[in-house]
Amino acid sequence: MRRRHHFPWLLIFTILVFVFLFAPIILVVLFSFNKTASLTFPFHGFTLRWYRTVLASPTFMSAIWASVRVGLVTVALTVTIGTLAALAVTRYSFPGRRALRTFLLLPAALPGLFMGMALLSLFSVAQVRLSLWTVTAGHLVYVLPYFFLVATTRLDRFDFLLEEAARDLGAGPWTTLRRVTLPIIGPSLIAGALVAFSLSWDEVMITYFTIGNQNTLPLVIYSTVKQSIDPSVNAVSTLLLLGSLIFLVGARRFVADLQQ
Amino acid sequence: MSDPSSAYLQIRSVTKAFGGPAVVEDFDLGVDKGEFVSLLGPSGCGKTTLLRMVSGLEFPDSGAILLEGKDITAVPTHKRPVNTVFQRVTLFPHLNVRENVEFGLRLRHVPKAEASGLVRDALELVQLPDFGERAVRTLSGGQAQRVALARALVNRPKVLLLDEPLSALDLQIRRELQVQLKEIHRELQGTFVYVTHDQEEALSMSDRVVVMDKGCIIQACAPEELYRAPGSMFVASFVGTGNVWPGTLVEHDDRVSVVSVDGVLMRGARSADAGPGDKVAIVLRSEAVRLLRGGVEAVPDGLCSLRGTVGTVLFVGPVINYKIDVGGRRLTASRPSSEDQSGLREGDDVVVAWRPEDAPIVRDTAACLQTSGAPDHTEKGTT
Amino acid sequence: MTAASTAAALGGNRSARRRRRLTIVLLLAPALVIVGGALLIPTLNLLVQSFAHSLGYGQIGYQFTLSNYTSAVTDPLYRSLALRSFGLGAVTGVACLVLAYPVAFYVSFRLTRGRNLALYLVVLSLFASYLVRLYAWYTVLGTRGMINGALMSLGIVDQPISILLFNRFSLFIAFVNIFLPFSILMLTSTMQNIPREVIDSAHDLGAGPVRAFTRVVLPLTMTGLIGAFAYTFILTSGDYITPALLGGASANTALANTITDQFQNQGNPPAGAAISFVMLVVFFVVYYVVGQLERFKGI
Repeated sequence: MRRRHHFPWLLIFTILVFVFLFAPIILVVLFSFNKTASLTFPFHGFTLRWYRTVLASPTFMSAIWASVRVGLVTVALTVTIGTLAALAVTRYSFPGRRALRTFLLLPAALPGLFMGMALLSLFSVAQVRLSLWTVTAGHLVYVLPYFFLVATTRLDRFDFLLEEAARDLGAGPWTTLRRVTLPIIGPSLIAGALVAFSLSWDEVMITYFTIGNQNTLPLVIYSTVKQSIDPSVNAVSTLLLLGSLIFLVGARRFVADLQQ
Repeated sequence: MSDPSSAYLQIRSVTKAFGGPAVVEDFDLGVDKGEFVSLLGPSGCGKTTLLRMVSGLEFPDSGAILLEGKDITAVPTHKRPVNTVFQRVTLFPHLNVRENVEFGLRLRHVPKAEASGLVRDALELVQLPDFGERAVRTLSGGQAQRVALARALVNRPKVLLLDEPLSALDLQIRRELQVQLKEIHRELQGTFVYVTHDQEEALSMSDRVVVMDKGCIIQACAPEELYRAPGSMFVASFVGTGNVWPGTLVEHDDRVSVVSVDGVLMRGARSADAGPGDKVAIVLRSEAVRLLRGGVEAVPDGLCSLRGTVGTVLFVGPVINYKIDVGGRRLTASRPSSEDQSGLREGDDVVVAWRPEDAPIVRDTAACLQTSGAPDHTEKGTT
Repeated sequence: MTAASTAAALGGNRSARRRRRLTIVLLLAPALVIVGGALLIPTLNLLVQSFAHSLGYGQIGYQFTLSNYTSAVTDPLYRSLALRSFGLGAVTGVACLVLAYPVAFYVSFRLTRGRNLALYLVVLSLFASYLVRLYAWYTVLGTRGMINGALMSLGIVDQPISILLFNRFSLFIAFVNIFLPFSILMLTSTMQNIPREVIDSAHDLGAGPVRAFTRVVLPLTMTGLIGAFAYTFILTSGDYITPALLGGASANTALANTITDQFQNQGNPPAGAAISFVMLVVFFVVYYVVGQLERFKGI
């Protein structure tokens, strides 16, 4: 066999690309601990003062809390509605099944701008007041297709003969769902729920259009940046990042179940 | 022989179609309490659909199913005192062996102490006494199906249904489990309905075999009778290793019928229902014909014989199969490999001989049994 | 065979079928209500508005008119904006492909032990907030940001240069940074679907590494390339937040901003609606073309 003594161009290129991908974020995190308000090197010293500012700021804290609430409600609704729908299209076969599956994935194909505007326009015509509930509605329709995809992928691999076996042993339909189906596909549903929360947590476009007087975390970052240079944005951003990453790392535990 | 109208499990004129031609057509069957009945037939003959209708996973389009005289046709699955062992492994992967077996008991709120005793007994019955805490994925195929059996039996079902439970297993395991199943049946004296396409399996385990094709019963009788006196060419071809040669019945006396096969006259057992001129087939079981060295050994009295040449010799293990060329047809004859095989090499002249009473003569039909019990014959061409 | 038993069978059958249909409907209803109510109806409403008259200040007169569409398509301002947005989208798509392909190639074909880690890192970068990354580039490129700071301290310039931010360059960099992970993932997925045996047979039949690549790997990854390009193009062209943050304060930075401007500042929802539908049509054309190409190139 020939030994290759080529210069590892591809490896270097790949490493450079990865640096390009991660550098900006690492910088933000780094500078959230910077002693001064400067955004350039040299680094002046480690401090937590920006974090204290954030925690003391009612604007930021209420935004974080709003994001949490919207996220939880969105995920609760998404998991329930999405699981039921996924069961319907995988357990039964009926005309139009495949079209329906495509239809329910549709919102993921549309730009957030369009969905945000369409919802806003509807709310104004129907004279619905904008609030965190309208934001939740927007998040729900945005996140649902992703969860639906995860759930249907898992259920495509599920042997429904297991449900028949449960019925054969005396379990009614609801008991079968509770004691057999849901426990078995559970890990994938959890992974989907974590992905759903992460998507809602980070969502800014639809939120921008459908929110009333409040703020969610990404939105408060956006408006703060537009108005001024506030170093505590670094800290808030890092918190936002932390939230997203926690969910991703958590989801990894359950993704194995999905990817047999 | 059970009369369908008073048996323990009655299947009465059941028909089922899935939007096309009927998969099960006007099916009548009675199963006695404690009987081990096999439904035997090729893929697509409707046997699994029938089983599912008994368990409640499908509903018949017309007809009825009665258990102990009560009509259970419209009763949903989870309320029927019937349990199934499925073809694929359907053990719940998120529960261990013990939890799987006690699943049905827990659903009926059987007290914990009593339940664990029943589970222990069930696992002992299938010879897996220490497997209670094992995880499902650590089980082999055979072990998994045994646990599935325990899981079904622990509920003391009135009827146990088995849908080709051994078909996915290796041959040796299959053979062992067949014996175990028969022993369990004898010990419990339960009512078992077993679906399979493997005729050896059906013959070895059942009290009665019901041969099915295209949704109806072709023949239903004890295994020996099925083998020795097949009712039709379909059954004769499907069951056992035989040479089934179509021909025309020429004449008969009280013991023997003479059949003309491609112009050659052959003698077989007296046909019960065919007359001269009917299209029939003669069945020469490969182990029922004797091979005599041509020109060396004499044909014993009373035996019918044909001359031929040895074609291919196949060593199968316990037997050796000989493909003999006999006047344009190929005949398979088998001999125990422990016997002396001299003079039977490829190209040798042989004489194939058999006693007429060992060669059943069957009518050339694949028709369904009618409710009246008498077979309904419609002439069909040779298959 | 009694009529009573058959009736029982028919009854059981019918009620089972009815129950099944009801179950399916109940299971699907909430999802359909959400997608229908939060997507279909608003879209239809918007569609209706796009054919209506604007009476100023957000008021709408519901008489049928095509003027919104005609001005959306013919107005030179919109046209140049569309060209800018779609052009930037296309350039971003190409740039992402150029950067992603070698990385995907390396990860799929050269990396064995580190592969899962590398892919995990890519997914990680995907999840690491879109907004935070935008903000990061905002700080890096800004007058008080990293690059200017470095340039000044190295003595290359005396004053911070402001051309780095608020123009197409900054949008381009940010878009590439954001959508590169998608492209990498799509390409690695396509590449990993090529069975090892196919490449081995190419080598076996005498193809050197270069030819094995151009004749085997490249054509087989074509669908991944097209899909990645289309995805990047669509998301970039229709993006609002990035242009709003990094592209300057004007409403004419990108198509998305113009649309929003029409709605919010100009009080002209019909115009905004029409432009967004035109944009949507372009997207669907791209989806359709991609779909057809995939079928054409289908393995």
